[in-house]
Amino acid sequence: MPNLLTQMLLRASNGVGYTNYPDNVVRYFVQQSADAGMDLFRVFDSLNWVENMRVAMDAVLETGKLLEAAICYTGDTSDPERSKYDLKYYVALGREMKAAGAHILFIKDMAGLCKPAAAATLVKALKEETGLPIHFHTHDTSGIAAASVLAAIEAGADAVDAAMDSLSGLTSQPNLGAIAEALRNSPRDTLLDGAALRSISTYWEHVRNLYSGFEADFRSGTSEVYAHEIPGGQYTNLRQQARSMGIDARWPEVAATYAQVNAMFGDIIKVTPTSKVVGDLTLMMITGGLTPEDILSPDKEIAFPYSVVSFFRGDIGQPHGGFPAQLQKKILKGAAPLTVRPGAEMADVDLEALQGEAEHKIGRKISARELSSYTMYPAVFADYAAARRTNGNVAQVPSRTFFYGMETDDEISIEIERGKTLIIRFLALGDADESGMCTVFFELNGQPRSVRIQDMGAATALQPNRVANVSSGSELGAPMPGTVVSVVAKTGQKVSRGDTLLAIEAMKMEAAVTAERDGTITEMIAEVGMEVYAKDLLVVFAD
Amino acid sequence: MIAGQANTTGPLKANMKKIHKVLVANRSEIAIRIMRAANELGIGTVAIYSKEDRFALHRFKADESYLIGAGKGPIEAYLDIDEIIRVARDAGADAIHPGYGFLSENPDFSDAVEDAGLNFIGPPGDVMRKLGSKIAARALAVEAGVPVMPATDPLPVGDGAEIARLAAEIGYPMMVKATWGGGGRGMRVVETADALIENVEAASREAEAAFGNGEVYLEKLVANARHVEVQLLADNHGNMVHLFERDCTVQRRHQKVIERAPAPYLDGAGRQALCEAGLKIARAAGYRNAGTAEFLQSADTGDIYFIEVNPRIQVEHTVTDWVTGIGLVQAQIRIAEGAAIGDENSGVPAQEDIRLYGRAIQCRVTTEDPENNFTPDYGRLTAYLSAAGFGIRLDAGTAFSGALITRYYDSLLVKVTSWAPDAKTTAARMDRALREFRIRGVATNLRFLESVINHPKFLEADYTTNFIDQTPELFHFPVRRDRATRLLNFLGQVIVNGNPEVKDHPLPAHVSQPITPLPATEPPAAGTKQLLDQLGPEGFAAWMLDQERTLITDTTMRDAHQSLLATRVRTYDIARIAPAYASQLPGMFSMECWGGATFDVAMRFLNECPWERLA
Repeated sequence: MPNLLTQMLLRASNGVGYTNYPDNVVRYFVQQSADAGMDLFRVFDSLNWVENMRVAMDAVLETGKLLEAAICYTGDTSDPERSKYDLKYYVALGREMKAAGAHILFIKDMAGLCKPAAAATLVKALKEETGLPIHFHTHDTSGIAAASVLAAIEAGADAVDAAMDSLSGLTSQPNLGAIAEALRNSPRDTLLDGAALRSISTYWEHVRNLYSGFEADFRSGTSEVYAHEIPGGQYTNLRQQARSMGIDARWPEVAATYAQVNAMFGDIIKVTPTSKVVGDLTLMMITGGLTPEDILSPDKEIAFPYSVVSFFRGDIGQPHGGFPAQLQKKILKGAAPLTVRPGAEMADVDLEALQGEAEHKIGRKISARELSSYTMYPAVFADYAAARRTNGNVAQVPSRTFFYGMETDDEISIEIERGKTLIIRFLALGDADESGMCTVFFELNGQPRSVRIQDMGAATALQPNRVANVSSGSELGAPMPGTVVSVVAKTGQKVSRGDTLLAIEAMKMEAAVTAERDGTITEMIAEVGMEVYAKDLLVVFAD
Repeated sequence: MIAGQANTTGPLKANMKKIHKVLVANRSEIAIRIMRAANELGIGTVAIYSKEDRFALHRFKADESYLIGAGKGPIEAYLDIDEIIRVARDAGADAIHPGYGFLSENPDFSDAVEDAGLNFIGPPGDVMRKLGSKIAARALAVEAGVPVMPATDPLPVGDGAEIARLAAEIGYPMMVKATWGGGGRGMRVVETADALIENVEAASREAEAAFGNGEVYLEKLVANARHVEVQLLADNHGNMVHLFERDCTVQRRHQKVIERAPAPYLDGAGRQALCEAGLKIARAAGYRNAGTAEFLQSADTGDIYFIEVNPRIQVEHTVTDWVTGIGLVQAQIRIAEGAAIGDENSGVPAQEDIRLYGRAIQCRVTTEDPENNFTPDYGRLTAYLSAAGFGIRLDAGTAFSGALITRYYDSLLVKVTSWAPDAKTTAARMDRALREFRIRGVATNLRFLESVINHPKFLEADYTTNFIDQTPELFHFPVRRDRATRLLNFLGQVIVNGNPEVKDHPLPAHVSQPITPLPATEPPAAGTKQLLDQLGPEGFAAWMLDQERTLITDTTMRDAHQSLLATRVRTYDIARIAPAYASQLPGMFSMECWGGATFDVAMRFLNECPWERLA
């Protein structure tokens, strides 16, 4: 899309992760994203704490890209009973964000709670008070969010979020095609081509079928959302979790408890990652049979989930109106909470050192962007890099094949590079042998090819040699596959670094295996005639 | 080919022993090379093979083939003189070609073949005895007035004190060398006295395993040396010629890696002197058939030192074949039949008519892993696509898709020889050929060879035998991407074990393939991106306020699937529709396509790089 703005959602100091990162990690990520082509950064803080957004906002301003500051919407401005998050609160927030440099203000109604009248009032007030363009976003969990979108437009919202018809509704955004048609020939006509919208929506409809394994299986909108206030992104997750815990039938109870937890927390903004904190405690209360009284009672000992402890310690930030003091005291067991921005307490990380660490871990050079992935998700990135090494760039595999494999005689093509296409036909699958390996026969560009795959379901009979844990420092592995032809050191012997221990031969070349350290041999596993693969354990040392 | 078919090169002389059927007492590429040569001469071919080689290609390239050495080891099978002769007689062969390695330098074999009334294609036993032992060959060279390196007699293995004394006489650094055999086996450098015994013993064990004889000796090491060798041919009538020289300086741990002919650093006079020295030794030994005199040349002084004579065909003979136009194996056969050099039916012209045409390079492609210290690799070749085309010759052993590389033998897979009129084109052609190979299933040294071929020092012939060991950048090559293999591995995984992501969620019965709209013929109209570039962020915000139309952000690529499909929509499906947005909806405000949960889900569950989604 060389002509359209690309935009991303940035969780301020949480970057694209779930915890606070050091300031330089956030800045580095923003730079890399802008460099990779990101044009519009939508920045939010899960507690609407502008203090915690500044590092990310400043980083965006520095790139010269668009900064859209998000106001997370919760509560109900049209309900006089809920005064914590009233119009004044939002307008003050808008002013603060403008002062912090926002180019656009964004109303992030992540749970779909913003009713039409509230949307209209909010848009109008923010626009008048700040003079910034207003961008409105909601979720259709209730089923009538499109009404709020139209009300926001009527009240002067400059831009709105919507999803292509076939991926709209329910916990997603309202229907883009329908909004465009509703506005057609009105002063606020979107001027988008209806036929184009429909043809693109048809594409997504087919795509969605391929992902039916991930559908949450809801059939309709639910007004319950106004009671529990669970954000759209979390709703499907939480139901999924409830289902996997076998408490799906008690969903209404889960939803009610979620609302109770929110109340106990002092009515907080709920969006990643604070929504997860509320969700974690909710599920614990349900499965543990705990009541709000149990939670609040100073006498009842409770092992709170880590996310809850961390939240009350101030690791995510300071909520509007502060923490409920009693509960905080109980959860922290007297430990002192943070009262300042968490990032202010964190030292910058040494990116160069981190790069070295990552490269050592995955065994190759990494790009600046990959370093950025690593700073946010070290373990996830390392796993991904290992999978990529074994499986190549699987992003190029068509989705149906990616998820469901191939049937005999299926033929697919994979474009691995511009002008380079692999044509792959699946011919046959052999039976698993005694070690559980089976051969998969393909035709690659018309030439026969096969791969050997371990069948995880097959019982394995073969006892392979132990593999050395090289990082332990005490185990020595075979440097190459072959046959052990001589063993000169024995168990109990003291050896020095460089001493010859044994020799391995393959293809008539003999290689001496020497001690990599000083120490005593506690176990000499190698014996003459033993067939070894590379890395098989040969010798165990102790100091 | 049918045995006994007429020889096309002319009538045989009366005293000639026409060969009708030859047994090749060898395996792999050299066995095939010999069979091809015999075939062209209308000579029938007999292969022998060990049990481990029962699927090896050389067996199928012969007219008939026989299992030998049942119950013996994979090497020992090819070393059983009695059985080989028995098979040759049974099969009605009248000659045996030993190839290189195995029994090729064993004088007892040569004699036994002749004693059995068969024609041995190579020198007689007594000539081999004079030359096959490197120590005897040195004495001969001294006699013939050819300079040699200081060296010891065979070492009394086991007598450490005596070995140490002998070593001290020679002076460090030195080489331990196997008295018999070649190919770098049983050869070690000894830098200091404390490493002496260990290296002597290792070399001896290696020589024992490779040649069946563990005898070793010590020889002084010349710093900054080139390895250059002269190809010799001698008939049974006292005629001897040289076929110029080969440069074999590019070695790794005394194993030749790349050979070329002619040696690029020799001028006419140097070449003349070298070849003449080779001939002197051959004459002194009363040499017969094909042989090679090996020399070291000091790169500093240009002086040459004789090392040894290899009384057999060499691995690298291909380059000489090509630059002289004389097929060495056929010349061996004709000479064994009794042909006289210079006669038309020998295929070898007189010395003054032997000329150099162009330049040739040979690379030894092996199943060694350069990223793992050249450890020999073995296993099944899942794919083997070789090079071809103008100026390329391949001498392959068991190399084809599906072939099994065993651990029992040498790791040589295929010899690639390139030829062109000039050195630069020859190297470029070799580089092209190496890059054309696709070998999967086992590690190969192809990348390493490419990096040597393209190194400026190689191209300028500015090197000595330490070139590889002292040029670390030769080992810095990009890892082969093997993209197809990796993807097949992934597909195999999904076919066998399923994708855990959709475990318990079978594909619905009726799933249509998403149809991607046809690409637009016109470049897309300018949109908000161009506007931001023009106006800057503040100007862009002002532009937004001026718009009467409602600006729309499409969240389908991020929030929509994050909310409905657990963020699982893949780059593949996103990238395919992106151009349609660009061309058909240029009035869209923005595309939310990144951030939120997409980042970690991409890596965690889809095994994609989130950054590549932006490409």
